[in-house]
Amino acid sequence: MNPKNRLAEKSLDLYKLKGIYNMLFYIIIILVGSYFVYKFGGSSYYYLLGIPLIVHGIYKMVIFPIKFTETFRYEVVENKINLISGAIIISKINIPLFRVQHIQTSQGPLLKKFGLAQLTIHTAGSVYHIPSLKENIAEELREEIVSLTKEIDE
Amino acid sequence: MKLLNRSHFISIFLNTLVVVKSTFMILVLLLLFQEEDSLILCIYFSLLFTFTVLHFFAWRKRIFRLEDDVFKMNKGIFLKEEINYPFSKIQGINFSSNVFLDFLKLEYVSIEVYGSQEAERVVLLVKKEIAKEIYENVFPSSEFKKSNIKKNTTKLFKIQIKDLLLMGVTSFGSLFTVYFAFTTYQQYEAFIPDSIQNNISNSFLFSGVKYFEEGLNGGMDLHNILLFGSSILLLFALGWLIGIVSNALKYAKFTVEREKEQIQISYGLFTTKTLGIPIKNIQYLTVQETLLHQLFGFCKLEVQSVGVGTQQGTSIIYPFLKKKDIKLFIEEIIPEIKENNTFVKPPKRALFFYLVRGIVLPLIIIYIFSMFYKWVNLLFILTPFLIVLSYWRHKDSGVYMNEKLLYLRKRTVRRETSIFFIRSLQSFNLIQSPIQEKLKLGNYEIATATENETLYFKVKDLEISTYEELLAWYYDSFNLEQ
Repeated sequence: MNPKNRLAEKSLDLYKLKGIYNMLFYIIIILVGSYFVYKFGGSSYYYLLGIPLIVHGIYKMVIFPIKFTETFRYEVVENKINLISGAIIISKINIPLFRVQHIQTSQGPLLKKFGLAQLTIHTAGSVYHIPSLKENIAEELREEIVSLTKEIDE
Repeated sequence: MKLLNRSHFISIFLNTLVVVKSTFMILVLLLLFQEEDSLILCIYFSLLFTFTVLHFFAWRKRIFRLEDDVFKMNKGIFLKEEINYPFSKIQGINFSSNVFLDFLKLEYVSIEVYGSQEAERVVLLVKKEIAKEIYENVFPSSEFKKSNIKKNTTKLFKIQIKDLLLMGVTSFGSLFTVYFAFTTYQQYEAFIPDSIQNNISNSFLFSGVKYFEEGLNGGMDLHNILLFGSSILLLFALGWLIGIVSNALKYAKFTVEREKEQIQISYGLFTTKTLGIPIKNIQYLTVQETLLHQLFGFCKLEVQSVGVGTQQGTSIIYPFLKKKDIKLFIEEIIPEIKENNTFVKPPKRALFFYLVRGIVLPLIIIYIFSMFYKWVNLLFILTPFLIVLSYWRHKDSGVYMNEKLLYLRKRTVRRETSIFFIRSLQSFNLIQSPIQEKLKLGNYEIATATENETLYFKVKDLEISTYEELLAWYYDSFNLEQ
């Protein structure tokens, strides 16, 4: 059975904004690259390298935010954490609670702007993120996982 | 018990030698490109002298002793430090030596300790009897490893000379070294003085190589083709020979045996290394078979462990073992693991993905690069090999669960079978593209505990139902343990 909890509603706006920043960055790279190709007379094939960047930029700006926020699910069930993540390629992640080493919440300027926080789960060999939860939900989930992990350890 | 000592004074000079070794190339380059030779040499030797003097004082202040089950060490010239390592925190003690040190009856002792963040290592250069004393004090229950080897309490596996040679002959790793040396030379050609360049390109070995570009652009006659061919063959032969010799030196006298809760390994002709790997630290065992090794029926065994070993916790426990001996080897050296040759393999409908990944994608990449570099076209002759390899990858992938062990098998070019202890498995991930989802297939990604970095194992295009079985097996085994 698939996990039922979803990311915060504002996540969609967050990823759209991230997509726009990403696109701006690609445009700067293409402009700088084109200037050098023009200035130093490189092969015209080099201009083609901009196409994948533009395509990826549009994907990150338009398709990814919708697909990713629609797909992402999480749930803590019995002795495991289940996550479903991805936009086109989907990952179904299963983290045994008794393998969780530590867990942290973090918030960068962008997340803070939207009142969101990221939850990161560390095991001895892997790291997984629940990328944009409401601040209070992130805190609650962190505490819940910590207390469940303690219970199992005892 | 109290033992007061410091490393042998010769360690000061050996340390200076290490600095000379690592800075020698820079010195040579400076001497080649700068005209002030005497000034450079003067500065270099002054720095070397200062370093040696500083190291002398550091050596004087670095004293260790064993006291009340604690390894204590004082060090520091200006900032004095005393560090205590309780014996219970010491994970392993490894020994290494070489012909020169053997002559002086000295040995490097490397003490591995679990720190708060990551494993620490203390290296001492001491007389052999002191090394023995340290080992016996830290691990009083086990007898000193060398005396044990002589007693031969468990079966001792020792590499044979003919196996060592066959291993060298069937290893082509050093060919890449020659290739990289060649490409690096080409890259920095402009910076190398003309006189040296002329000497190199006029030597027989390289005489044909300079026609490389010319030949591919269609300007090569028969004479040049022959020269080019023989040069390449000679370079290959040279790389091959280097491989055989370096292999023989590195793995000569390779012995491995089980001593209570540790695997003891020792190897090397001029530089002897001794490793002790505690079984409880081992996360998984990998059986590696390159195409050539598979042809001759040999394999290499490696373990990944937390706390000891080089290369991020990977240690070779046998470099070249006959495949038919694996069962015996595992029974004697690491009986906690059982050999298995039954695997749940990807279904036939998954072959399509293996072919697309292994043939179509590489060919597209080759095509794109061939637009920029003409010689890349040559790589199209690899197509039949890619077809066979993709088929093999499909045939050789698989997964199997058995009691407390998980078996994963996959092939890149070489075939790797990894056997995991259930305790080492950290998380599971099933990755699906939309087409895989329709066909009820998925890539498995399993994380395992390692020393420093995240390590995921991937097996591609297996049935989803097997993944569910895998999860059920994992949680059932864990619940049984409770």
